This record gives sequence, C-alpha cells and structure tokens, in this order.
Amino acid sequence: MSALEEALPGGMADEPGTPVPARRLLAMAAVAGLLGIVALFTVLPRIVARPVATQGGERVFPFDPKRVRAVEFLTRDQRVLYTFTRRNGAWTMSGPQGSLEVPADRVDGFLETLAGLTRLVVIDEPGTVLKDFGLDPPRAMVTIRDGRGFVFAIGDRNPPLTALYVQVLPSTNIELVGSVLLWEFDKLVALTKTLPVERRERTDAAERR
Amino acid sequence: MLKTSRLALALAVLVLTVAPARSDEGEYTLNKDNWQKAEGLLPEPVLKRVKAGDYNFKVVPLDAQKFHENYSTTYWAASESNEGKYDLDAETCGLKDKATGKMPDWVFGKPFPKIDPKDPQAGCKVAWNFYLANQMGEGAGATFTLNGIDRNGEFRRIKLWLHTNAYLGRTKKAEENPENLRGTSLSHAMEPADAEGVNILGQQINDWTSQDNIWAYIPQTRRSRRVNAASRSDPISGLDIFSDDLNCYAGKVEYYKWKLTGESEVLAPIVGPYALKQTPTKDSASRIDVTIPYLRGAYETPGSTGAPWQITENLVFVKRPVWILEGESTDPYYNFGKVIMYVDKDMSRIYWKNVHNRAGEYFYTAMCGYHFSKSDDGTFSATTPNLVMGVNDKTDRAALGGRYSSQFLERNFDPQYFSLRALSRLSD
Repeated sequence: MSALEEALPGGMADEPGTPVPARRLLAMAAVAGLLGIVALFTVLPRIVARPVATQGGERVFPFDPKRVRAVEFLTRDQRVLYTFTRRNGAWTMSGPQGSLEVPADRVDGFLETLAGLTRLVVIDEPGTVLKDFGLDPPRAMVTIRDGRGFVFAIGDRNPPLTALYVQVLPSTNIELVGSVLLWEFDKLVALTKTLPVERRERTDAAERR
Repeated sequence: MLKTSRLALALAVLVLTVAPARSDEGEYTLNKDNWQKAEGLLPEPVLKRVKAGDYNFKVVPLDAQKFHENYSTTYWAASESNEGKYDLDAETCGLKDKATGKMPDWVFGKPFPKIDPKDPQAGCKVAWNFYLANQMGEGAGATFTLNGIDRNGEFRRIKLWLHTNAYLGRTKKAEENPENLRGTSLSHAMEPADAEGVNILGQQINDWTSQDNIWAYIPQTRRSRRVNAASRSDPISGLDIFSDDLNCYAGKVEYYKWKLTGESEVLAPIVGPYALKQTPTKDSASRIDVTIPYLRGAYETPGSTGAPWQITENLVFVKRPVWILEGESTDPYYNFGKVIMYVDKDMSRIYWKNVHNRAGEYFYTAMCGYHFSKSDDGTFSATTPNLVMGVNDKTDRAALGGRYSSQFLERNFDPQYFSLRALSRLSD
C-alpha cells in the first residue's frame, strides 16, 4: 500500500482491480473541465502576454491607435494644415508642398503615446484664462480620424516642463497630461520639414506672389 | 580696379561672416546673460536652468581629431575591421555574429562603425556601439560618493566603492569567462552607518534574453538576497539618482526598445577634455592608476551662486555631434517610461538623458560626464563615467554621483572575486 493510500480514509480508496463507477468518472471529468476553463481565463493569458504596468488615472484620449485612418494638425507657427493618412500600414504626409511617405513608426509612436496618456490634473474653474496655458491661440490643433473622430488643442508646458496643457474640444476643461506628448508631436512637425526643399521654395515663391 | 574692389568686398564679407563664428569657438562661460548661445545645444530643461541662473557652464573649444584620439589606435582599427561582421537579432536587438548566427563572446571596437540614420535598426546599433565602448577599459575600480542635494545644500552622503569587470567589449579577450558573462560588478557601502556593509553583486549574462542577476547582502540580516533587475530604475537610498545612471544607461541593450529619432549637436560634459595619463602600478603588472581632478560642487564652494548641485571646478563642456536616441524598457516593472538620450556619434558616449515616468510625465535629467585615459604607447584606452548629475525637475532636487579623484584599471581580475562568497565575506 502506497503512502498516499495509507493517508486516505478507508472508504475513499478503491480496491485494486475494481472498475470505477461511470458516475464518478463523469463527476471527475466535469471538475477537470471546470478547472480547465478557469485556467483558460486566468493562467493562460498571463503566460501568453506579459502583464503590462498599469498607469494611474483615467485615459484622456480613449481610442484605439490601430483604427486611426488620418491625423491632421495645424500649428500656430506654420499656419499650414498637414495631414497624415494611413493606407495599408504606410503613412503618407500631405501638405501644401505635396505628399511624401513618412516612417510609420513616427505616426504610430505619436498615436500610441496619445492613447496611453492619463489625466494628471483637470482645470475646470470658471473664468480660467486660456492664454495663460498657451491655449489662446493654441500651439497646435490636432484632429484624429478613427471613425468617430476628435479634436484637441495643445498648449504650453507647465512651469517645470513635466506636463502639457491640452483641451479636448468641445469641452472647456483644461487637462494636464505628460509632456512626452509634445516630444512626440514635435517629431511629427519635424517631418513636415523633410519635404523636398525645391518644392517648398516653389510654394514659398507662389505664396509671395 | 573693379576686380580689386570686388575682391576686397568678398574678403570683407568673409571676415564678417567668419569672425562671429570664431568668437563662438573660443572659451566662454555659459550663463543667464548669454544662454541664447546654447539654444539647441542643451536639453530644454537644462537650458531653462541656465537661463534662470542655476547653471554656469565653462565651454571650451575642442580639437575634434585629438578628442577622437582619446580612444586607442587599436580601438579604431578594430572598429574599422568590424564593418560587416555583425548583425542584430530582429526580435531582441541582440548582437549576432554573422559567421555563426549567435551572440559573440568578445567584440572589441564598434560592432557597427557606420550608422545609417534611415536604417530601422540604427537605434539598436548605436546602443551596441555605446555598450561595448564602455568596456574597452576591461576592469576598473574607484571609491566615490553619492550626494543628495537640495536648495539648502547637501542633505545626505553615501560613500562606497565599486569594482567592475568587463568581458564582452574588453580590449584583450579574457582568458576565462566561466559564467559566460558580459560584465560583472561588486560594490560596498562604507558610509553612513545605516548603509555601511551593504554589498551588491551584479552579473550580466551574455545572451539575448536573460535578466541581470543582482544580489544584495544586508549586514543586519547577514543574508544575501536576489533583487529584481528592474530595481535599476529605483532611486538609490532615496536620492535622485538611479543605478541605471551609470554611463547614463547601465542595463543590457536588449532590455530597451531603441529608436534613433534624430541628430544634433550638444554641449557635452567632459573632464579634461583629452585623455588622462595611465600610470602602471609597481605592485602588479595588470594594474594601472589614473589620477583625476576633483569635480567640486557648488554646495562645497564658498560664495558660489546658482544651483548648489552644479559643478564649479574641472568640468568643461565641448560641442559634440550626437544621435538622439529613444529607449523604452520592455520590462513592465521598470519605473521609467520613455528615455531620450544624446549619444556622441564618434565616441559613443551618452551625455544627457531625459526621463519620463510611465504616465508620460518628464521628471528627471541625468548629465553624464566622462574622463578618458590612455596608455603612453596609445594602444590601450578607457572611458569611464566620472560624474552623474541627476536632477529631478518635479521636486527641484538633485544628486551627484561619482567625482572620484583616483581610479584603478585592472586588466586581469580573478573571476572568483565577483562571487556570492565574496559578497558576504566583504562585511565579515
């Protein structure tokens, strides 16, 4: 008799060679099936995907970056509309100078950063002066087209440069989000300068005329 | 006559255009009165502090060729011969020997001497050039301090020593590497009393996937315990400085997703700026001493103005071309979010890094200052992190790390010295 059998109460262990009753087999199968289902929803996801660090606070821009078809922006300095359009995984930038395919990771990085930002502070006091936050006029107006679409304004950074003031229109609230958004946005703006110089010069000359 | 006047005019234009540039090339102190000179040459939070009068930086002209020669002739020759030999594992950013398809066990010089910024793997390649340049000096050791400093001056000081041994990027291949390591380190806290006797052993395994092995010996419990590798992003003893600030990045290359996002010029903090003398010791054929001028802080300089954590002596700033690199950890327990680094295109040093937290808030800048040393015959050199000035812009506090005035280089460390046994014996 094994140590396990010794440990079990007498009535629990079957005699060797005794056939296991069908009802007991069914019960055991049901328990095993149940455990399998529990494991499917609890253990397996942890094995397949590593846990992602949770960020405190509520997401400011709840959207799926993969569903975005176009990003448009207009900056205070350039006063020119630039559009980034996704087709078959590639992003094309269009502006008055023409169109150009741009590195996809630039636009994808911007969208992923935007989608992950959490609300640090909300300023909703009446009488808030938008100019004090760089939102009148804003540094830039950005439109995200993902089927539903939303528009937000980018303002200044806070005094220690750690965060950025934004306004998700048409709300009048001012939200404070991580300043990494400005870093990502500036990379998009830098792309607008990669259009061929001669084409830009032609456009500048045309504007002057 | 017309020809002569045209020539004179051309010369005048030339002189007028060249003259201001020349004045920029000379030595000057960057401060709140001329901060505009550094526009585009410093990360914005740093420039803001210059503008506010927190920092006074001594900027000196640089002979770029002489600076390039801070690294040994053998390093540059090896870098050139490495062209085309190495590749990257697309999944992990691990270094791959093209001949074997595996991780190499020794690579001296830059594995990727030519960087094409349009290459999607350029960021990872720059990171490998940086990582391996750190290791050319083989083994090293120094006693130094970590100083927590706020607007009122120093509030905490920790004294410790750190010994390191490199395997992967060393100048001469190690005779033995029984644990297949890239590098290993041992540190021992000496002061203050509450930290005294805390020893830490670190090991980086030479593969693409494993985490660092880190053990800490706590004298109060007389036990060594394993520490998570993500703790490199935890503040050291409550100071505004992190283990990952050593060389401005101290992890394995594979821990980050790297992206090259641009190129620029920066003012780089350097001790020197040219290579210091290496003096072989009398007692050992493999040991070399290097004497380094002390980097005095404003908090210990009577009458100094500005931020108490700025360096007032023996640190200079030189204009250097850099790659702008983004790094983001793949470890969900790592505290940092996006890290932006400025890496010397030629010397592969990270001079500045801006750190965001996981919520995307920028909060911290580390300035990493280096010194270089070279043997008399020019065949062996070392680049060593001598200073980290970590500034938390959210709390307006800082920490200084390093600033040692002597170090040794050890070309033949016994691998057994960096062991768990040594870890516990250090405090016996």
